[in-house]
Amino acid sequence: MLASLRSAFQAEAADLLNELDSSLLQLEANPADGEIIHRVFRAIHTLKGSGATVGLERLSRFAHRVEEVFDAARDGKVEVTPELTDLALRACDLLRVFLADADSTPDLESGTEQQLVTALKAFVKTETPAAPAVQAAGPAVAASLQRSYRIRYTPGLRMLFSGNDPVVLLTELCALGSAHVTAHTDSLPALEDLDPEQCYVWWEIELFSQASDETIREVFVFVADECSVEIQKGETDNRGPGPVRVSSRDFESFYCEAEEHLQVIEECLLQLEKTAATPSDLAELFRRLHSLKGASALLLGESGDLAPRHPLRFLHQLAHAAEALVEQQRDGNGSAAGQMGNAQVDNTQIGNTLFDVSAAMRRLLECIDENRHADLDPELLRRLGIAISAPKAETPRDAKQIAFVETAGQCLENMRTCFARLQAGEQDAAVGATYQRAIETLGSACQYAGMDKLRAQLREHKAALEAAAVVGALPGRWNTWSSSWTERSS
Amino acid sequence: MKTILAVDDSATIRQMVAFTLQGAGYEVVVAGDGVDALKQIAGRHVDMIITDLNMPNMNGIELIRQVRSLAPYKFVPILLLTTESAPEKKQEGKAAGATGWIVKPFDAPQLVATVQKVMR
Repeated sequence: MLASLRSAFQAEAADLLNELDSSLLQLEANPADGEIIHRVFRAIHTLKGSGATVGLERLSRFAHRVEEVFDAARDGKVEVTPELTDLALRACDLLRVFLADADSTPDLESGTEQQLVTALKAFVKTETPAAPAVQAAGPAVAASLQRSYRIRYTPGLRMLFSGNDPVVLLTELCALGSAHVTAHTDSLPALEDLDPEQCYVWWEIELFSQASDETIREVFVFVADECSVEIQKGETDNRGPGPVRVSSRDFESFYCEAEEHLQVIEECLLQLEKTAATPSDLAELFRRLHSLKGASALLLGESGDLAPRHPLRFLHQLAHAAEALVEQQRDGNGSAAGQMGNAQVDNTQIGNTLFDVSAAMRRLLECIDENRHADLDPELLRRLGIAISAPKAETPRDAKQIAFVETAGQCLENMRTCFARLQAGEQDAAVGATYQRAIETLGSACQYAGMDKLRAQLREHKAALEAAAVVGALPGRWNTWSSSWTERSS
Repeated sequence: MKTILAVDDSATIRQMVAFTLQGAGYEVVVAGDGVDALKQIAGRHVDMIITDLNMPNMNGIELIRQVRSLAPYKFVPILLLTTESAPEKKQEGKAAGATGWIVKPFDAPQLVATVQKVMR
């Protein structure tokens, strides 16, 4: 297409240039004639525009220089002199050269170009035109932050007369994310006073989107001067859309803080890879994990009802587990392999575990940021479980306990998977059966390990399940139950 | 299928707009100035008008005013082609009844995006 456009342009430009020549000659004879000046301006203006459209940048840029002078001339700011018309005619010659060689090499005629540009510029009093406003740099937080907005859009009464359609605007707005739109008709007058061509309705939109403030305002760019648009960044309504609901304002500060902690943690760990851990290293590591744990707990508290598998919950769990691990190291002065009994926990393994933990925490932060669900590596959890449960207790772990923890871990994982699938709506009997079986196995394991209290809890849970299965709903107590379990299993 | 009238005294622009919008699934008719444009819409209905500002015989602003005075075109979207160095033209266009504007020079994606912004 470009080739045919270019040739169309060649023809048009040739005509324009001829017209320019004759107009300029006329202008020479009648330098004060506004009509001729206008004609010259229009021809150059068209040349510039069409040239840019077909990609002839150099031609267009140069034409712009000439246009500038004649724009000023038609406003009376520049006087038409023989020098100017002569200059303009020479400019036309150069434009012809540019036109003839569509892929003009930079060197071609650059000397002439420079000369002419300088001369042209001299005619125009250089007021540096205001540079287009540079987009304000985005916030330090990742631009992919999900935000919640409350937008109030009140069109002007006569909005429809400019051919703008509020429904089209609202559709564009909603396409930015997920939204809930409410129309308000309280401004509607009585029927006899109602003009059907005027717009009395205003709208409230709750928008959950990654878009920035500017992007939202951009939707209204054509109507901004005749309607009112109020944009409020708000708390996410619990009824609002989106699977992962974290208050956006609080999240921003949490994210910054968490990022900082993670960074220091990662640096510490890298350091510890090379050199043995000093007490102060461990203390710093502990402090950071402790802070991370605290910050995520705070955010959890302020975020209301989050899903059981919300990445923020996982983040908190991980921070808690890692903190305990480091605390052990800090207080127990490194590995004491003898104390661990059959669980072979040493510095390298702890180091690796912590590395994995910090990597997992980073991923979780991303998930929260991008509004995605996350999964934790069960193997990592198990490692943390084993590592934590290594003695604070002085009594060495016996084979029984180890076996129990292994089995329990497996059962728990199965149950978790099944529950997630059931919760997602999979009504497969096999899934339910697996879940039941896992509970049963766990029950036996508890009996074997002598964990009666847990066994009792399990029985309760199983009964509740069975009751719920009859009714057709699933109990939502999984999360509280399983987190209390995780604590107890040490 | 929606029909768009493209009005510009530059044959290049007319061709580019026609080609781009046809590719996006619209039918396109063209006119070289305001007078020609009014003749076109007397013969057939269009769903949208895109017009340049500076044209001989009748310029864009005058065309918009006249179009808006026609009953079937009271609410039809009209886009004005304008240069960024003339912001006051946008206001003049809006005052005359334009829906919005496209800044020159523009490329194909910008053109299609703006058309879709104002027309369902």
